[in-house]
Amino acid sequence: MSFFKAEGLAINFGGIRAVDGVSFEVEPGEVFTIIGPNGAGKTTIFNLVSRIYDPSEGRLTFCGEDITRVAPHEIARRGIARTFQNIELFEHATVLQNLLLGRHAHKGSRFLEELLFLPRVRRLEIEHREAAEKVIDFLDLQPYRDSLIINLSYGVRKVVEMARALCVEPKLLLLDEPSSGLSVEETESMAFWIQDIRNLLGITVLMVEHDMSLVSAVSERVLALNYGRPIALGTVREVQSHPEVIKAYLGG
Amino acid sequence: MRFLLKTSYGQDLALFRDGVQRNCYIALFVALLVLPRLVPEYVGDLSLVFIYGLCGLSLMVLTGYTGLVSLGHAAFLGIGAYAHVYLSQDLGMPWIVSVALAVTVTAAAGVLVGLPALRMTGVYLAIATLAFALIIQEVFTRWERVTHGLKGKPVQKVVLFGLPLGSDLSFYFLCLALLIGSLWLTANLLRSATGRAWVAIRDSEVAAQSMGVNLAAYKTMAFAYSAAVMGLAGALFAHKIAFLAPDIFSVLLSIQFLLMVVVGGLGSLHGAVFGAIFVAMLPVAISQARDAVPGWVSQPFAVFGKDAGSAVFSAVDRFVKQPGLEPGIFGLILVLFILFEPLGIYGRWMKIKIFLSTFPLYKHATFRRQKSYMRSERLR
Repeated sequence: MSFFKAEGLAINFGGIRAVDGVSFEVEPGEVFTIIGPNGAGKTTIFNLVSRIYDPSEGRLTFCGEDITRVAPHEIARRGIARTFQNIELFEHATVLQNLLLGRHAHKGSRFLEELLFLPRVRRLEIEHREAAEKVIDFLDLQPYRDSLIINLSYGVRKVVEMARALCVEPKLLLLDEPSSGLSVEETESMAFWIQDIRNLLGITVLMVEHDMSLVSAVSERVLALNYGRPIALGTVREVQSHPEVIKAYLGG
Repeated sequence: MRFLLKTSYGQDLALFRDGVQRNCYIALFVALLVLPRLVPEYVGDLSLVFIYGLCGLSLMVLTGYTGLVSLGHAAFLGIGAYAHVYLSQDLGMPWIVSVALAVTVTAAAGVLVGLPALRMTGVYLAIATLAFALIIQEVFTRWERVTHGLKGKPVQKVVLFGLPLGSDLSFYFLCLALLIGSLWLTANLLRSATGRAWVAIRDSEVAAQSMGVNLAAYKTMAFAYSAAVMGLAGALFAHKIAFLAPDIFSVLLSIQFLLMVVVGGLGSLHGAVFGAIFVAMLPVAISQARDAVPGWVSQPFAVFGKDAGSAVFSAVDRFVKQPGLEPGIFGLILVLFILFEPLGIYGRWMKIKIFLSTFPLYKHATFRRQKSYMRSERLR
């Protein structure tokens, strides 16, 4: 039984086959990266895994359970959290409020209790706050706790989004281009965060990434895609030197 | 400027930021208790403000917090009003039971509207709710056994636990108590997980969903809660106007509710109350302006001779006495607020407070980025 497995994943948008027969397995505790030129279907795979799209074909299994038809909001409860390529934070809320929403999968209070704000709700809220504060400590976000997202720089927002995903307490973390829009230094620290998430929190990471320096720094295995089809799977070095991959990136 | 030292997580869950704020609200409460003694002639108008406050609160939850625009909330008000009057007068239920049932019925109607509305956003949802309101208004007209149709239905005074609360003064306190109660319940929801999920849906549905928010369930819940508060407002409104007729619950009333939340300030409970005060005062202001404006406008023209002055006076007078002018004025105010003060009266209030508290150091750029308030609405 594997930790996370995609088998023959495919999706059609009208006549376009955005993802076509992609299969891969992610082992627990590894950092698995999907690379590929623009339009290769990397983000589409993420949207399939987080169930925003319904696959036309194929199966997704996570921790031995079939999640191919699970409702999108159930995914977080099963232990899969994600970030977005273009940052989907709640911009007019503070960092802390964003992180608390990340705790939604662990909600635990009922509507009527909340209506009267019973002591149990207060206790749960404080527990959520403590969990969020742990993540704030882990990712060094203390200076930004009460600032609004719109007042933060892009680099910090990327970290906040990762923090929100960590608040879900996931077993599998999906990072969609964690380094896009970041400076070289910020990309380096992102690599350290990802290593820490894997090594200290024991969370398996599945990511989409373009920056090969980041990929080679953190990732064990890489899957290369082109036009929705897998072209190479292996270590960073193997994939980078694969003739199909070179052809996909450079043409010819 | 006051700085707050936070020493516990519980502090962030408190209803009031600090002692000063709490004392301000207590002072306001005391002022509202003695207000009827100071201005006894306005007690009736003030209870209407409280009822409008409930209406604003209802739409604030749906539009201001969950980001779902409704142009049909007058229908919920009507359902609450007719249900309450039918249950208490025709079926003879005690007041409190009939209000509770009216609230339940309205919440159920909210769920019924909410379910198909799940697939719609922005303008499409507004149109769908508008259609719903028109249908309900037609139902009020046709279902004569319950509503007495166009003949209208007189409403008796409130009798609570055998206690007649018919006087304007006791009705004032009843409305005040129910408004404060509803504000408290809503504030409770907003500081717990449900409120956060609503705001998350407003700001980014896709992010909310991947954090585990069940979009369908929370949107339906927002509709149901909003309708329930509207149902309560409807029951009080029925007593306030003392005579129910279908044409009261028109689209114009729904637009007034929308005006309330936009002018008051989307996404704040203060905004709902500010908006209610504004909308309740607006008709008074308009009717006074109707008398005054022709005089103002024609005065400068009087220098061209008496005839010119009186000609302008009668032309302007004829224009402002047009019966259909109010919807236009409502619409104009709505547009002006969206353009120039998207955070509404509450936003302006915040700016004045910050200006005063930081006085010589106020930065003009503090609110520079406010215009992108409802990001999700902008993208659609």
